[in-house]
Amino acid sequence: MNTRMPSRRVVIPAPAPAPVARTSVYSQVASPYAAARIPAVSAFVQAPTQRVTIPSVVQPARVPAIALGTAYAQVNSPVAAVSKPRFDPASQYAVNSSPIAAAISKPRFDQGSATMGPVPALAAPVDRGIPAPATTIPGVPRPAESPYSDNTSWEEFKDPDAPRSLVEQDRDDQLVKSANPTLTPKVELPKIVHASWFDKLLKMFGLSRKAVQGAQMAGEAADMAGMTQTEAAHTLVRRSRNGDQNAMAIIALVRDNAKAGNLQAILTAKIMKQYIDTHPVTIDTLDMGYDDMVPTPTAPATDNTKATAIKLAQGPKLDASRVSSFLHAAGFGAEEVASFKHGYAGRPMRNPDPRIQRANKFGAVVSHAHKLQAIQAGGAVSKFDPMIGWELGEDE
Amino acid sequence: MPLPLLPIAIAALAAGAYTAKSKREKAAVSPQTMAERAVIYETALNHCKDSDKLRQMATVFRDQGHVAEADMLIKRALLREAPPEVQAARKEAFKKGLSSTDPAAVRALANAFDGQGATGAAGELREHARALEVSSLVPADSTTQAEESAEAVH
Repeated sequence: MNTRMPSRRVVIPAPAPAPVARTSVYSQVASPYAAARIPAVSAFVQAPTQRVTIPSVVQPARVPAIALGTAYAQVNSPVAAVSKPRFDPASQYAVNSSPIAAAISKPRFDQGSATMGPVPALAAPVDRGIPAPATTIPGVPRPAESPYSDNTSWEEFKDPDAPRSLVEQDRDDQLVKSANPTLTPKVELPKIVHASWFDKLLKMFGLSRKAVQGAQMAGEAADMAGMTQTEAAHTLVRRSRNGDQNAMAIIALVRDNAKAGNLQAILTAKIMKQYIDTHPVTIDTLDMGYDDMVPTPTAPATDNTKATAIKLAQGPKLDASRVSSFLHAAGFGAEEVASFKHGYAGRPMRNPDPRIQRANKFGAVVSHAHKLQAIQAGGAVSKFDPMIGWELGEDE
Repeated sequence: MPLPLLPIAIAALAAGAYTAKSKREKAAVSPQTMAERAVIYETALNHCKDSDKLRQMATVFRDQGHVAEADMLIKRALLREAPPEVQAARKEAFKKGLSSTDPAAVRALANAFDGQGATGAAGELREHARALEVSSLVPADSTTQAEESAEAVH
């Protein structure tokens, strides 16, 4: 006789995955400065009670024609990510027509001369040995000795044995069909994603596959941030090196899609790999000492500043006499001491003088070390950062 | 009399496709709108200290389909409503994190804070972990350079 109880199938529910914080995703496009320039956001933050409605349609503001350097800054700034029209002529010119692009892109006379008027003086070679440009003038035959032809391509002037760049390889493999892929590798998605007959059938009904939707979202996200695909890939690498889990997840998603054969993901993975190989994680130890704290005014004041502050905080207590001894030992003058005070208060200096910048960064280091020592001694978190203090329940 | 099934099936397919396309077009949001929403979300996350406003924002974001953002805003609203002993434990954990010299442990703590909605504390701890890794590569001689010079002055 079978005395065993009838077996019951027990299903243990899997634990629900913890929701991923999305803050870092938006940290690339948002900043308090951008928020302050948007009236709706400022009103929301400042008004006591207010009904908030997220607009469904945003009219982009016009971006005036600006100098190239400023245009780059505008395009890459968070404010531009919000206000820049997607097809603003000034912005397009700034992105696609840099001086480098103009220098090495296809010569203009190779692009046909349909709009040019007759230029008979240029039809024959000049006596000084300069060959005539490849203009095509109706009715004027081209000299036989001219090295140029109507079908002359920029590729003919390149060394055929020279190693091809990554994007050039993809372009030659028909992965990229951009007008100038070497300089603007922002690919057009419909040309990149392989479209089967099933995709075309779905497109007739306004539908698309999930993988294609994901790729479109990635492209839109890059557009949203005002970045090209290359810049977005580089940003992902830098963010993941700083421990951003969202960036790591996106890179893992790119890897999975690349393994699945998504061509845009393959290209993105190649770009990221190239960036990783050409930008290894290096630590300049000379930048860590107090004497060489700021090599250039444009150096990022994040990792090295806090790393030096950690070392400094591990030492004796940073009281006023110790800090003044540092200043005296470094030989700071009046201007440098003022810059040091600015740095201690968290205000950068615009003076490009390396000594002033060095003193400013030294102030930031001492300030952070001072805060660390206070926190480690049991001080209030609000003194370290008011917002973190609010998060952790401290009264203001 | 047999029903004309083929025309009916074609009509049903067309109606389904039209409905799906209408829903998709209705849900589509322009990149500019997405960017503005991101700014609003980031501002609410980093500068808003009013729990009621955070809940209000969470409702709006959830209505617009941004569930993850709405959940995070709700978590932030609940941060201040935690019991005092929980808040004290969080403060103590944050202080220990800034005193720690183990980057992996600090990152784990940062993830825990992130899961609770304390994104500011999580970000600071991540930067601290990164700085710990960098500072571990610095030779001890260079870090004490200024201190030695200061001692010499004294």
